[in-house]
Amino acid sequence: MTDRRAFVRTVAGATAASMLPGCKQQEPEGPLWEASAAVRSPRSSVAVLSGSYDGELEDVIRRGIELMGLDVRGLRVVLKPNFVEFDPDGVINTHPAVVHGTIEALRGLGAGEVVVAEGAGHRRDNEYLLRETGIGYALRDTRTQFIDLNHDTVHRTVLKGSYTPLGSLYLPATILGADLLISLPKLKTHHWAGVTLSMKNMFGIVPGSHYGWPKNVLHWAGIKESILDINATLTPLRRFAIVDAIVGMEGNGPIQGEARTVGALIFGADPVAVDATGCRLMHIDPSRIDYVAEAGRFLGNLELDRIDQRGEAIDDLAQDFSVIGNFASVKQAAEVTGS
Amino acid sequence: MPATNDKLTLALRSRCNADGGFGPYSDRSSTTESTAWAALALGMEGESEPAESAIDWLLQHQLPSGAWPHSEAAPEASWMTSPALLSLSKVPAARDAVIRGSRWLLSQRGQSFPFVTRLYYRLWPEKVQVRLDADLRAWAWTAGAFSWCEPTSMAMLSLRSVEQQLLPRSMRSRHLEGERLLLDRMCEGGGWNYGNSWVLGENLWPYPDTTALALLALSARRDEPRVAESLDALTRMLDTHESSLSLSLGVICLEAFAIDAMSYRDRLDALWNEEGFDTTTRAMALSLFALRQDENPFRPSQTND
Repeated sequence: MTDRRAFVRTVAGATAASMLPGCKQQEPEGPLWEASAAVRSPRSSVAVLSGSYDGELEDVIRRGIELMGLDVRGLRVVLKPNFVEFDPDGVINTHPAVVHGTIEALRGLGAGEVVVAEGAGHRRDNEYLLRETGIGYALRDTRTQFIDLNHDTVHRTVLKGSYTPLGSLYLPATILGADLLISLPKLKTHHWAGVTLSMKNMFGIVPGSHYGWPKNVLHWAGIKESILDINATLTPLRRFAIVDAIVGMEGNGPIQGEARTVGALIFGADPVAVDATGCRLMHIDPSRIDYVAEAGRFLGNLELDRIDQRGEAIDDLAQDFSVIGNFASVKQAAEVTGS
Repeated sequence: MPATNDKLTLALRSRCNADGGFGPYSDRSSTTESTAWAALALGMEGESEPAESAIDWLLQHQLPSGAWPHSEAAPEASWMTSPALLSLSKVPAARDAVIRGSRWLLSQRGQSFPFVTRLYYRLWPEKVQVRLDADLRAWAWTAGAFSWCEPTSMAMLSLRSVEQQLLPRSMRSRHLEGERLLLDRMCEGGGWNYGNSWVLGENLWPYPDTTALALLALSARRDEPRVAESLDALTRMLDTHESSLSLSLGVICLEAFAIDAMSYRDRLDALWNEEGFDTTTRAMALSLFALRQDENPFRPSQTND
């Protein structure tokens, strides 16, 4: 696993001539997370289930939730999909069928209330995004409320990590007040961060009306560092993730990459274990994605021997996702998961 | 269309909070941006009571620095100063507030890269990850961040709406740098997105709402070929965009350039008469302007003509 000093050195070096000034250049003393954010348990469970957009996704998602032993009865559940941008020829966003199926599965399992919330990172025009991504129609069909996190009521929240110099962020009341927060990302490579999965998806909770479009303050503070600080800060919340890995994005993600079919959904309550599994489904070594590796030190489990793998075997579904040149070193050989 | 305006005005009025301000959606706390747009639109519609309450909210929430905050929950100076200025520049009694707000806005500049990075951009432009003129600094969303298209366009438009004799001489140079930044960030083929036109070897595509705002900010540069190219790009985008924000800003922009926008106005009207998706107070206010021919909230005050 990457140690803390190596993480800091890697990030400082990789960002010297990039869009990410402001990264930590000095080796800090002590952990960069609050003790209360150290929630890694001895073991974690993740399920990988096959699925397709035109199949019975509600059943698959219900099975995944049950496999993970998640009890949603009576809970106010906030679903956070990813719809950062729209390209009619691209596969940028969480598919509306996954959003639809998740809503129905949660209701079938007795959730008290389900709302969908997102704060799109590039476009202010939410009405356009809801219409064109199809997610608006999934919400209408299921009579589900949408919360625009870019314009939600906020609370200033002290960060539980100090990877960035930010100290605090305004965060949406909808997120902070959730009984259960479900990250619903797309499986994608990312040209600045390596991969974008359940943890990177949390950028979307940071309100654009405070921090802009794009949420540039997070870029200046360091994308990878911001992912760690935000996810550390969400540790008091009960969290779960369902990754849309039915069709992912490879190459120049998260916006301009190419579609790559995996045909799977990933389920789990440990965001690090879920993201590590997502990496392995792309033949990417999670220990070489620096923020995932760093999160593995306190937020959750990265190593295969600490993850109880349920459902399908990773090696049966994994695809050799291409990455851009900067991330060539994160690729892992096929069939190393031992699943 | 009057029927749509009546319906929209009623819906907008219903978003007025007990404190006199407006939130971005129903049941949301008042924010400066939403209140500013509601004041403009309701004032234009002759709804004097809610418009005046919105103006009072704005005047009460101006910070000692001259800036406006996002909201009571987030009391720091913010980019929302621009829409507040745009709104209050039409209110003679707000003259002092406008002067103080304008001075604050003129004191704000987006952050630039460190010197070494800027040097890299100059010496090896073929090797950079994001193609842009790294020396240009206009307006950012937040203090200490990079300059982007919308805050730059909005700052230019709001400062232009203020009587120019009230502004310091630095206004001219800031406006010119804003123009240069917008032209530098234009997407291939015309138009603007949030502010990156090319990243890691790939062109990015423009958006209609940010394009319309940038064009309005560049309206003094009608002879600039990139402006003409972007007007064409805007009409192409509007042909395929069904949203009240994009269509309303598109109509306002095209009419400011004396281009017929009737077909887009008709589509906007139709959009408000079907089962749509919930949208922001800002989009509602802009729609009210767009549905009335030649009403332009960004038009400079008479004394600037």
